[in-house]
Amino acid sequence: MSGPVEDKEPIARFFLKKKDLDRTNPANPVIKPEGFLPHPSKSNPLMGEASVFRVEGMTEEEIQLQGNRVADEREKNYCDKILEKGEAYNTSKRCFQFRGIGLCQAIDIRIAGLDVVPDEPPPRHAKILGWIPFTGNSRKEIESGHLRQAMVLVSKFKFIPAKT
Amino acid sequence: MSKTLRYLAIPAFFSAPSYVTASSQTDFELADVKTLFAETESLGANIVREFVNTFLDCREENWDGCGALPVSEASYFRAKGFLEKCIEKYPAPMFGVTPGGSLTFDWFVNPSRRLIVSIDEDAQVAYSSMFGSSSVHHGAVTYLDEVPSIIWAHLGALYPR
Repeated sequence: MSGPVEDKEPIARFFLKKKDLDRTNPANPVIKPEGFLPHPSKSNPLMGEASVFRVEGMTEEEIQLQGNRVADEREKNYCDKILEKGEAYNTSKRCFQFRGIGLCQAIDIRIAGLDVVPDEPPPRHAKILGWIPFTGNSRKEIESGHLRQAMVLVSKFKFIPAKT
Repeated sequence: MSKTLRYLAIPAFFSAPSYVTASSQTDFELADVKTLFAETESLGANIVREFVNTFLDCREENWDGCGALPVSEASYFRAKGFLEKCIEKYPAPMFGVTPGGSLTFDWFVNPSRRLIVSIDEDAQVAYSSMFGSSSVHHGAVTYLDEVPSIIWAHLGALYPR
């Protein structure tokens, strides 16, 4: 799926950290906007991006499997970096675990003033762009703009818990 | 000897202040952690234990696996002071962390009514609030000792008396 992202395409964000969600009410977890905040793009560090997946045509079970794969890969990368630094990696305690899916349509992201574009590999990977650049204002002004963008974005997402 | 963090090639936004060093993060000994937990008793144990845990989970760089900056001890203490003032008058928020190493407080009523404040060592705090999809605000204001009036105003609007 490397063509343009259509407005009606379903887009998934995988939640891998406990702190991405608030489970005070277990029946209705709250997605935290902080989990959507952008990281500097590798190609242009002044611009931000957030990682998502295109899930058109996938069953919920397949999306869940993809979420587990993403969590496994993130854990492996994290482990590799720990070992590179010569530190001990605790195999009994995972840092990244698939906890659920945030689902919306591409148009919801665009209505929030952002955009979603293909970014393969891996297959079906895409990124959310259009974040306020990491330049031109104070750190906190930039961060407040990102919080605003993430807050609006999160209000469009529906949460689906990970199946154990 | 201290080691500086390896964020020199990325924007200033993601750069750690010069006095935050890798060694100061890793030297945060168990005794200090115990002190932090002891302090929770004075603030309402459940609330602040969660706050402390949020800090402890994110005090090493790359805590998100994507290169996030660590939350410094100075940020923790500054945020704690802010939290103490707010929870005297309003419900406890949810806690979070930004990739830039700031602690966040999220007062959530529903997905379109919430206030998030982000705080670290910077003299300013960042905030964003939403009161319905057509009323979204954001900005950065100076926080020294007193919670900025705009934050009180937004909390008051979220939780009318």
